Amino acid sequence: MTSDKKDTGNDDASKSNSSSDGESEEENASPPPTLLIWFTRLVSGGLLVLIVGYLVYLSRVDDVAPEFTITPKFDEIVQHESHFALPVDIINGATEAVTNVKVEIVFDGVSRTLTLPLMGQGETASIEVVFETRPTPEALETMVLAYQAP
Amino acid sequence: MTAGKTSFSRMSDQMPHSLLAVSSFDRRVEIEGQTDYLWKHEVRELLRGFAGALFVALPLLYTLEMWERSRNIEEPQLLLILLIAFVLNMGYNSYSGFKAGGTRTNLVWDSVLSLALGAMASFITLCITARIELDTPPAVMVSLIALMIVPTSFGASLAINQLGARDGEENKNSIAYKRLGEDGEKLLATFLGSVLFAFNIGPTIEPKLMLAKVGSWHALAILGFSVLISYGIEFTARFNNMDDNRTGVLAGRWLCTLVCYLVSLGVSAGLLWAFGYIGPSTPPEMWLPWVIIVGYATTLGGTAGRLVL
Repeated sequence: MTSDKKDTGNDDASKSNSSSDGESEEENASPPPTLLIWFTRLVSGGLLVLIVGYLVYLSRVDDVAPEFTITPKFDEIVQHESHFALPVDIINGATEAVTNVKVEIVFDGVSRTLTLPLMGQGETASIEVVFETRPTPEALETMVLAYQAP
Repeated sequence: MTAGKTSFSRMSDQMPHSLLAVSSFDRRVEIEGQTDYLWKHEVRELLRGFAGALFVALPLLYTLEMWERSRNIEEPQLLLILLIAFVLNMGYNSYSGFKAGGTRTNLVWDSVLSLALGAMASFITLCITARIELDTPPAVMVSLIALMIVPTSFGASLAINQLGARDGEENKNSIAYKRLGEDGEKLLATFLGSVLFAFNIGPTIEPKLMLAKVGSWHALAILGFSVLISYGIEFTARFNNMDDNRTGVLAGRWLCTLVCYLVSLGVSAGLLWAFGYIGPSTPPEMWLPWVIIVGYATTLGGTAGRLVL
């Protein structure tokens, strides 16, 4: 293989009838990749293996029926003039997504209901409910009224 | 060996172009009239693939239904979708790819790179738009990225077609054309064009809403118009320099249009299944008009595929 020929895919002048020159020309038209591309290929392959592997793992995990953890954050209550906003975290502990999760939070006879359109598996939704008096743990009730499984 | 502008790789000089051959970093090549270090060409091509991924898929990365469907699709189905996406990417790379000059194509590795570029484009976009946050569960994150990989990788595999001009002769030199012949290439182009064009519509709820109002006559009208517009675009409007000396079983214009329409309907049904809208238990009076409605989009995409790819 000569080494001082210009490396081009369509260089007619570089064409030769000899087999060795034919090989070099073919290689020049389609040179092998550098280590940069090999590195990128390996990282890409590894990334895809990770994604596929994790999906395979998820598919083999035992199903957990929809169950919700509702956590009011009393230490993060914010007062807006005469109203009190209570942050609440709702966690979907199931291994599947649920839609239209209807949550009811009752304090001192006052009910607040809201609907969460979509919760993926293990996902947390953060909401705020507003009451006219400061909510306390003793008088607060939380529940999930309904949800739609896929 | 001379160093500098016209030097070649030492390793390439010493060994034949095997599967594991490597060019050195000081190798310079001329690609599409531009002489530069090979690694610089490669970086540009990766960036081109990344840009192609975003050009095609950004609307879907911004689509609520895609976020929802990714959470609802079962993992085995998602794995099957990824496998199909890999095969489709091989098809797109056989036409286009993200590498300049139509050289150095390796369908398997290029498709792996397209999928990874799609994953990166999806991950970055979903992070900066707060669709993925630090407290996002890994299962949700992986499912979201796995589904988004599909359109983004298609964009990467079609980067040259999107972002650079290719003429008809170059397309006739494509791997797909050489391997499949005229009929096979036409059907593949229909299939790939249908998937690419209708992937933006398949996951959305709008076709289902249309279904509520679409009766038998509407469905027949959509079917008829889809066939007519497909024929008109390909054979009457003459968007490109159409070859009138067509050969193969599908040389007849109407036969070609009808067979390709059936392929497009198949793609429509496949997309609706992939997004979990229809399945074996779906009654025909529901899935048939639904397939025809989405089939309008896949037919247009398939026709465009036959003209552009």
